[in-house]
Amino acid sequence: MFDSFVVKRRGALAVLALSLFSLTGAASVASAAPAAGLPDSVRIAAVARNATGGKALFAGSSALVASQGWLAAELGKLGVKLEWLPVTTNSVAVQVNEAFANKSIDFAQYGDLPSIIANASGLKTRLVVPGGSLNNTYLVVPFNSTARSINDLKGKKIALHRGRPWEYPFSRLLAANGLKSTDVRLLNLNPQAGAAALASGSADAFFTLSDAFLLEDKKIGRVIWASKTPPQDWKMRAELWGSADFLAKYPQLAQLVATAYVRAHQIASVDSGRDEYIQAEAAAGQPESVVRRELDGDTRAWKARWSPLLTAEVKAHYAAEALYAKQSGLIAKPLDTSTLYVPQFVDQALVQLKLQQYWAP
Amino acid sequence: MSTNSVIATQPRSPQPSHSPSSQQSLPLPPQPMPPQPLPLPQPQPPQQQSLPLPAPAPLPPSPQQQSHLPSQQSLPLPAPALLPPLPQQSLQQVHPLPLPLPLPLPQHVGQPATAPGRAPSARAGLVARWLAWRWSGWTSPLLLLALWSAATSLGWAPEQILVSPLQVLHTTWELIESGELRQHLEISVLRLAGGFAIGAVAGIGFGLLLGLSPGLRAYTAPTFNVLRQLPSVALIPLFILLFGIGESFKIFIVVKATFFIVALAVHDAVAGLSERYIEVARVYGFTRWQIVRRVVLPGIVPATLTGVRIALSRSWMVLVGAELLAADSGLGQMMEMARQMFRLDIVMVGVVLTGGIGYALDRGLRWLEAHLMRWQRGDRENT
Repeated sequence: MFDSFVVKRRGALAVLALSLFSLTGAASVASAAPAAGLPDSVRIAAVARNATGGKALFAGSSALVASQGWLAAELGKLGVKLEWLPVTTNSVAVQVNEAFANKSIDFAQYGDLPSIIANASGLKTRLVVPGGSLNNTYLVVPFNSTARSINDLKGKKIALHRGRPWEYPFSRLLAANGLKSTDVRLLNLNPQAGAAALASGSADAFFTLSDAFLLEDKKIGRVIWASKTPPQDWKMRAELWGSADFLAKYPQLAQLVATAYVRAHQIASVDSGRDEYIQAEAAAGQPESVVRRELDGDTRAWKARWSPLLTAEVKAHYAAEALYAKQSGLIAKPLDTSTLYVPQFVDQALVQLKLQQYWAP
Repeated sequence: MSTNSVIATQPRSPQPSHSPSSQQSLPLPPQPMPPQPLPLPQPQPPQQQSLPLPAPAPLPPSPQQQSHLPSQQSLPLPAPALLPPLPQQSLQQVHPLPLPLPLPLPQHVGQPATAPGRAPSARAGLVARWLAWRWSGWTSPLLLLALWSAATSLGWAPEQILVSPLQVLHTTWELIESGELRQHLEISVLRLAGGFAIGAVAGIGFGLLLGLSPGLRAYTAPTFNVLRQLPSVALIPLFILLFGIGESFKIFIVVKATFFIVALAVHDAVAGLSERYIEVARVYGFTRWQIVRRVVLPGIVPATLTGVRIALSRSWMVLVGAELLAADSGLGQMMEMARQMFRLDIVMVGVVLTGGIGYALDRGLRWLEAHLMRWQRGDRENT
């Protein structure tokens, strides 16, 4: 009896020791120490729509980069892990800027105006891969509203989440109609609260992204303006930004990240890529019909919409937007946007992928 | 006082010398008394002066003595009889005991009593003396401020996120100068006052009805108890849909936060009232209204005030939370907008102000509570 107990115990100990050994062994194989001077991981923040059930479903080109797996594999060869940080649509700008400030991310795919605000307040981030022009913005009024254009909303209450990338297109819309921001009453509401305000009748209009179509489907709202036909400069932009520190310290890793995004852009920009992109967005929690309506009817060709080139148009957009941010009091001091660009990463990526002639500048 | 002094001087009179004789001549109620002359401190008049006078006050026959002062010599004085045969040492032991009447004690009497008391406090040292200091309540705020300053000057967190106290002060000044702060504060306080007044009055009324009427309780208690479990913050989205995002939504969220806390406090206070009060009132033939007005209402004041105080600080928090989510003005909105603008210094101003105002509201109501309940304290002191 006693003997068998001892034997059992010894056996158990041996099994335990063996399993511990094998576990540590496996762990050390799986996470091969990063090459000298490299960080353990590269952390990228991206919008995740329905991150329920513990699974983050990313949206936009980050979803493509994540699903293609190329970047994770390339970084893995160097012993560096790829980490995705999901941020919710309700407050992408705030979450990403705070994450950049406390150094918990290295890259983020997010909007233009939040990046201007971040840099104006002393953070140092750089535009690594321009994101093209994929997002449109919409002006929604209550379903039974008589308003037909922004001119009918003079003096009315308009829900708009301040400091988000769609604020600039809204300011263009006002200016083009000879209105000032004081001609309407802005309600600073996040997209969820804005939709609720429209539904409850406490807002006369709501300026937002493609969630406008959801309101239309529920017969709560009616889209009276979309950013599809006006000049491309009006459009909001969402792109890949990187921490200036990280870019200076690990240009090799930053290049891999940039190349992965340019690669994803190229794969999506072919004609058949359109359907794949729609499927990916639908998988990320957007109804397919909403994605289709969001993409339809845009004046710019599909391939050109994925252009990662840092064109004069992009630079002009940022210069004008920074000026707007200063004038409207969003930032306290003027920002020189010419310091924000690091085009060498995209240039290098285009060379690596032999795509120098793919997108017309 | 005058009677005391008369009594106090009494044992000094030469009567103890007469007492043995009087005892023998008159039939006295049986006293546990030595038949021999009392060993009263007769032969030490000088010591008597330095000695404290041992509680002569409870001498029951003192008025008698006063009235019979002329015939003192012939009358039996039970006073000395009550005095136990105290030797000198035991007298000294007695004196630190609290005297039932405020006797004008001579200075030197107090000294031996306080001297032993002072010694331990001196031994307890710095901490005790610090705690006894009237500004010691500022210890933790000042420590927190020091920690905050250290964290910013040593760069423990990025400057964009952790702003220095000095910068917060500077920003506060800027916000005051621009009038922005005043505008936000005014609207927030107005919302709080409006919602709180409605919620508190409705809560007191409903709590009273619920406590007094078993019928109403049977009908509404389950609903009431379920509704009061709902966190006010979780109701914000629903309230936005019901009331829109205008003023009514914010006022209703404050009403909700106030109403249930106050109603519950009042209901519990009514339920906790002693049944005897009501019985006595019935014996006196009080009408139902008289019972409510003269027994129930005064009886529930303390618990109601506490409920109201808790409700006020809770509804302030809920209001700032609601303003963070959906408002075009107010302290919470100032913070939310600042966060979107990545101006964490303004957010910190809002945080400090929210805490400060919450604290001031609580202290204000505590003071009011103490002021309104001063009769109770006075009562205790008198008994």
